[in-house]
Amino acid sequence: MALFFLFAVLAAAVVWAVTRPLMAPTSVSGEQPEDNEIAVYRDQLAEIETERADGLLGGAEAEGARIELARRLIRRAESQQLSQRTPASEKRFSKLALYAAASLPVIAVAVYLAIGSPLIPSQPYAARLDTPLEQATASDLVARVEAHLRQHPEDGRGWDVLAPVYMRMGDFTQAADSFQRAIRLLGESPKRLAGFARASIMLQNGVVTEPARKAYEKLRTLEPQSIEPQVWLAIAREQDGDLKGAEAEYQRLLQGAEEPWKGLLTARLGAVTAQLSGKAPPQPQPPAAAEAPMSEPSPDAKAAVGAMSPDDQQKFIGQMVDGLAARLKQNGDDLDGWKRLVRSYVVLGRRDEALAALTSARGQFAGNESSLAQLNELAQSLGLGS
Amino acid sequence: MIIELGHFALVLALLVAIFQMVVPAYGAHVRDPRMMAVAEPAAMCQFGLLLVSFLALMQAYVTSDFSVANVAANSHSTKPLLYRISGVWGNHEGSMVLWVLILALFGAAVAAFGRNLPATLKANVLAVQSSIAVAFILFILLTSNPFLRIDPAPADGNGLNPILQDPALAFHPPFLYAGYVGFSIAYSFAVAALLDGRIDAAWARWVRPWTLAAWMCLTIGIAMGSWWAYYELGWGGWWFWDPVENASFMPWLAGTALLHSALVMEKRDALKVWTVLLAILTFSLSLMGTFLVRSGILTSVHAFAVDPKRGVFVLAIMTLFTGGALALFALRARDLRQGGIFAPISREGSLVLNNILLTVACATVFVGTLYPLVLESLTGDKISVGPPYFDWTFGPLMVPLLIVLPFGPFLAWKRGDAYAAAQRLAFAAVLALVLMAMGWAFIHRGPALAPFGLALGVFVMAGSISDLAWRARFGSVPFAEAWRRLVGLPRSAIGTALAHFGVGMLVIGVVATSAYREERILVMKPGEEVRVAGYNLTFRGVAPASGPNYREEVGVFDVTRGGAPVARLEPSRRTYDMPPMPTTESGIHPGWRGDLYVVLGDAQTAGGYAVRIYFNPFVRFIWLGALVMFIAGGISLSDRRLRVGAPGRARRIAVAPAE
Repeated sequence: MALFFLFAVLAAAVVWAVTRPLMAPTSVSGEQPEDNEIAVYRDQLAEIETERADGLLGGAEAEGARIELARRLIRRAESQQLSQRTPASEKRFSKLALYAAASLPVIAVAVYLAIGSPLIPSQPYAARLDTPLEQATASDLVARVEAHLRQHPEDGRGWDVLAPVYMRMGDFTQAADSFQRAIRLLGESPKRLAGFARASIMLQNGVVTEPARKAYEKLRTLEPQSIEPQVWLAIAREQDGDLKGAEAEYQRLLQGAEEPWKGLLTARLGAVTAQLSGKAPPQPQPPAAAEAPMSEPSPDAKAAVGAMSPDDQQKFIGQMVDGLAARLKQNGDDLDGWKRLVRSYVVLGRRDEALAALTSARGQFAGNESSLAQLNELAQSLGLGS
Repeated sequence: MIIELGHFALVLALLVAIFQMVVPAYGAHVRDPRMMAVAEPAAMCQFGLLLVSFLALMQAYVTSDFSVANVAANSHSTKPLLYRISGVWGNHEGSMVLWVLILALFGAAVAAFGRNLPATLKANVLAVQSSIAVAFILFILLTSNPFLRIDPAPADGNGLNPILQDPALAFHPPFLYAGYVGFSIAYSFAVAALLDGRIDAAWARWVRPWTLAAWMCLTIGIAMGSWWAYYELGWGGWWFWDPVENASFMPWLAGTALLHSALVMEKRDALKVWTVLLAILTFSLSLMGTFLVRSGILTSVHAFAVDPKRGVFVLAIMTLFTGGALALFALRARDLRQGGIFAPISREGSLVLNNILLTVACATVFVGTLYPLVLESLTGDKISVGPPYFDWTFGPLMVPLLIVLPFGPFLAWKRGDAYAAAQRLAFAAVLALVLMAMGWAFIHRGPALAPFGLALGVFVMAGSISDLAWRARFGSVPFAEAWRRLVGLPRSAIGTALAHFGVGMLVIGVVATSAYREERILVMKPGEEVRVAGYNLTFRGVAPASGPNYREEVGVFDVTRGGAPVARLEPSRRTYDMPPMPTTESGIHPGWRGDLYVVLGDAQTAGGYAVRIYFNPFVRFIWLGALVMFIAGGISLSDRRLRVGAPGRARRIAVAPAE
């Protein structure tokens, strides 16, 4: 309400100011036009006089200039008489103008209501950091942790919390950096090593870089039975040109591989075999778009995101999210998928679609109490109402 | 809430502008004083509302309110305060708000200081000025509204392009806009006069200070942009004939001609057609500059609004205002009485020549800028018109201009004496010729024409000193008397001489830098030394460092000259956090003789770094020249005889204090 009170004050001031001359009883302007004209000529005459005194003009020249000015003055006075019209009294139009001025605030409010967002409060950064935890949205929380880490960059736990969030938001630069800091401050853990390696690989368009390879090697020693490091180390071999070794590794890993990895391994194996038999030109590219089991779609396609311009990135992420939406439309029995979709829409600022997705998800899981509870919790945490 | 108040104020400003466009113009038509008087408070309200709007947006930037889409897209919470403020105009939407704010500021200034303007002229001027505001506020609200919101707000913003995070660039747009938009006043006066059907000396007297103020802002704005390009882009160049640079340079050329033309009109009642046409042309070129930058048809560091819809809108605005004014001119041109006849050799004659040369120069820049665009849209061929074109068209046009320039102030109005003027310039000419001969005798590198160019610059500088010396009569009266006369000279005369002196400095800077620049590109390893232009540079190595929102690698170079330490240069390569973009910061050792300019390149696989070292002789003269021109404009503007309305009123108060 305070907002509309301010609008009213502003509008009232404007109306008061612009209607005042219209309501003035007598004419405001006097006989100024002639005065101004004469003032200019008078100044010019004075200047001629000064210039003559300073010796910049000769006597005859000054006389000539004076005469010319006098001629102009006379001409001016004549044309003035010609153009002088009696001021017509335009009462009707004047009234009309008065009404128009009075209606300005009404039109302004109407236009404003059509395009403005009076109900959204200001959300200055500093204040968002102070909102109570229960009311904070996901991005508020990220902002809060970021602000905290800027003050205390040595807090490893903060980086540990933030890193997977960046990863989910597709910000691989920040993700890799955060994982690395967490590793430095808190020591190596399988989760952090894997996270760092994934982020680095995505950042480099699917190329297993030296730091990523080292991280996976460490992970392999920590968790010898985990398949992820082995697959990526094999891919690293392939990228290093050791096709034979990579082929052997792929074949070994394929035995007993579960579905998410199976597709990727089959695809890589096919590509390597083809190369070895000389059917296909050497492929410097990273693994083709296979269903890799990272938390989200294809790692390769997604990895390219890091190298894109912010605009393209935005577009790409948008496409990715749309893809997810299409998939869920066909097969909606994926609670995590729905949650990811809703969160992505919120991050992208597409609030309406987030709400729509939330509604669809609720319809999909109608009757499933635990899923609905999870969805409600998500909605609350994202500030989507209930 | 504040941001919404800003949004509402913008909407209300649009309505006030429409009101201000219609009522006073009609009032002027029917000579109704009350309706004409509406223009004044309306102009004030319009400015006040736009100020509220602008400050609301700025407040959102300063507090990093990412619920405002425009802030989220262009700012970041870690950005230093200065760049959060300058971020307001570091993007398309915000810069358009600044644009209309300055437009309204000029309108409000006319309303405030124009108390003794003829009433119909004032009403028409403010109505025309307001019509421009209507067009641009509509443009903002319909295509680029900075007040749109996002809910919930994203965690943080996308940041400002790091190469724009720079002090010179923080203030470059406001000055440039003040220049562009300032010419709108000249335009409004021209159109108002055409509507009114009369142009007189009072009109010219009014147009001149506004044009001068706009010209000053444009001059310093362009100089800042050039200076920024020089040290930030890391190419060691200061002007690239980039279309966007040309877009600001064309109004400058036309505006310079307008300034001189208005002078003739004020003093001699002549060159009316020139003045009105130049006023229309200058503002049209400003609009075209806006169009080129906003439409995204140019690929350039400036083209941050790549959106055809916006381009079409600005094109429509441009067509409307240019076409409308020219049509009006065609209708009314015969009413413009030619006054004040003059001989070809006279002050007026020299200024006509000046106008012709500047206009033709402007046309060559126009062709060079637009030809590739037109060709591409017609045939699909991409060609690039580069510096050679401009060197061979624009350069030769400047030569006669610079040769004739010093003569102008020595010629009398109406009919001048070229022989006497030449005599008075003898000293300057001899000095220039001696320097030219010495240049040919002793400088064996660089283009053969370079000493001629330098001599031209010296001629212009010495000519303007001769001008002042002659006016003060140094040599013919005792020194103390001449000094007294010098101090007592009209400030506009001092401003003229100083501005021409600045032109001479600029010419010397341009010629020396283009002709005698030294350039070394090499790989250096720590401890290595290289010799450039008499300086010894030792590369000490590279160290990491970090700033508020970036990390950087800083290269350290110790500079000595003849064994004595001169400076330590620290060029760096920065990577900004958000958006993650690399920039180069050059290390510059400025000196009168020239700048030593070092840029740190990539690390080489074989060890060492790519390093580019330039020596740019007299390069500072370019910006100092522009600064001198700016100051000269200020001096001329402060001349009482030009100050708006002041003399008339002072006298009237003295005569009739009761008024």
